[in-house]
Amino acid sequence: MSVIEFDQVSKWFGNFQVLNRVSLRVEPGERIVVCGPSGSGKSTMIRCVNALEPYQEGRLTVAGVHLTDDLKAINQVRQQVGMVFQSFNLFPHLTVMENLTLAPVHVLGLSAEEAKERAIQQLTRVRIAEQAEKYPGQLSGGQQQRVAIARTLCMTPKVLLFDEPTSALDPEMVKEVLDVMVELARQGTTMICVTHEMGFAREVADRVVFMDAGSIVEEAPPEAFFGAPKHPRAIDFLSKILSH
Amino acid sequence: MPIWLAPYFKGRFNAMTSLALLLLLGALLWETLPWLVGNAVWTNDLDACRAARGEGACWGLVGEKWRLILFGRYPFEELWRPTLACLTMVSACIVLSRREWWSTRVIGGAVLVVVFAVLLMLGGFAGLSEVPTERFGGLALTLLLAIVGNLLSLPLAVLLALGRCSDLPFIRTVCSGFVELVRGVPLVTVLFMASFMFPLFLPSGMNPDVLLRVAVGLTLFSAAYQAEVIRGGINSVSRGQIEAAQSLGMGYWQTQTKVVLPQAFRVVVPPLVNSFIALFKDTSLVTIVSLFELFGSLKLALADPQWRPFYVEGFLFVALVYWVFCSAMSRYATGLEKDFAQARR
Repeated sequence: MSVIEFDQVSKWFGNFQVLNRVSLRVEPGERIVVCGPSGSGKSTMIRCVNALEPYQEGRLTVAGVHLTDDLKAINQVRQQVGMVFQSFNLFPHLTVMENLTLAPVHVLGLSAEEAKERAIQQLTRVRIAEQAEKYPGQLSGGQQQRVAIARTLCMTPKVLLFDEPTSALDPEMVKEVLDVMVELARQGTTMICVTHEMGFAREVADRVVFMDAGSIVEEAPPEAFFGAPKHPRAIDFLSKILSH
Repeated sequence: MPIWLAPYFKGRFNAMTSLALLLLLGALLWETLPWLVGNAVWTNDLDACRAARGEGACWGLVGEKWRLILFGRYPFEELWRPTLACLTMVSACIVLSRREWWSTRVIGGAVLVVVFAVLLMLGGFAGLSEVPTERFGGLALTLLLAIVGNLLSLPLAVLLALGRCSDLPFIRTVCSGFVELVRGVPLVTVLFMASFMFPLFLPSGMNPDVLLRVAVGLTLFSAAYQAEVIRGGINSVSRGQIEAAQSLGMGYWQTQTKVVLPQAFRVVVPPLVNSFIALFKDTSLVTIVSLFELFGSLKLALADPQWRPFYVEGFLFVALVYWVFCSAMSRYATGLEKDFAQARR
């Protein structure tokens, strides 16, 4: 059974249609990279998956739950879907450790010790355990993003969503974040990743999804997508992004 | 020249300005010090005060009337009760405001202290004679109103602020309506309403205590202003913070209490303390409904025709008392800001 299933999903901001009959299935363990020009609806699409954005038409099922505006369904889905944001969105008033234990304690009901143990485990996984007692403001961008990844992992999500996780980073920090993501991908984590890092797409993606003007216009394995893109917009996009 | 002084005299302009200000300060002290200290009368000697009039201050007024100024018309022989109540409230404020001890228990502790102070002053049990609230007064009443007012208005303000930011139109309208209504009228009007109009709407025989009504009026008034302050803080928390909390599965109240409000409060410490101080001083307006807090009690004291000529000294004394409390609050706020700034970076 698919973990995520978009079936003819459409969404409007006022009169402007941001998603146009999007259909996409993601199987457990699959790694999807979504790319496309800015404003093509990539972020909006993955934000629909954990109901940060509502949609108006079609049907979206996540982890077996049909997403509607029902709060119970939304919370059920959010506990199983982790999200990593472009701007990290760590809680600046809490230490790294507190950032990681907040939701496990208050949402999952873990004890403080269990949550802490889990946090240390995940911090080690993203190779930043020694920073546990610092505040986010004391860390570099790359470190913050790795903490943000560890924070979602503490909730043991079934799916990870990445919304341009490296776009806000200085070039030399991109690698440390991508390394962590590659490792997660190798460990079989189901993920949808909106990114312009084509190297990452080539290395780990099972499928590349190319969006334009709110629609998925091409969906192919990376070799096929990068080797012989079919849609004219995809050809154009790739020529621009790969030429520099 | 000591190193910290050097910048004040660096360059012609700085040096001239500093010198001018020094001269001004010197002249001011030269004029006032003899009156304030040198020629002042420090005993309760009325004749000496009359003789020194114009030349020196009469601090005998304070010596003579301090009980009335600090405790109003509270029965003279029972003054230990408001004294103990004041000491308890002040020390509780000092103890509970320690950052290391902050938790929700602090609110419980504060409520306990207020209940203790009110019961102690009210009496009517355990051999304590009963004292009607009309006879509460002076600093004791000021402290009581300020502490009760701020203690109750802050949670209310948080709810109003959250309500105004709510997605639910009904709640938003009700909260906005309340805030706009209360902000649209002067505090004096609210106090008059609480004191004189409110009982008219109640069935006869039901007549809640005037002090209680006034405390509620002050609380509601201050809550409206604090709500706007807190709303400003809430709006300063980025959308991404809320989305991060939501995507971790946190519900509305968890998101607000664990993520949004802690950040909002850090931003609004200065204006919030501003409103605490404002409420502390606004308690002086309750004199118009015949409750004699610190300022009102001074006027009671000055009703004595013999001591009346020395009203300036009385006002200075009361000003000093207000200043001590307000500057303590403002220094505490400065400390908090520094703490928060450190935690952020």
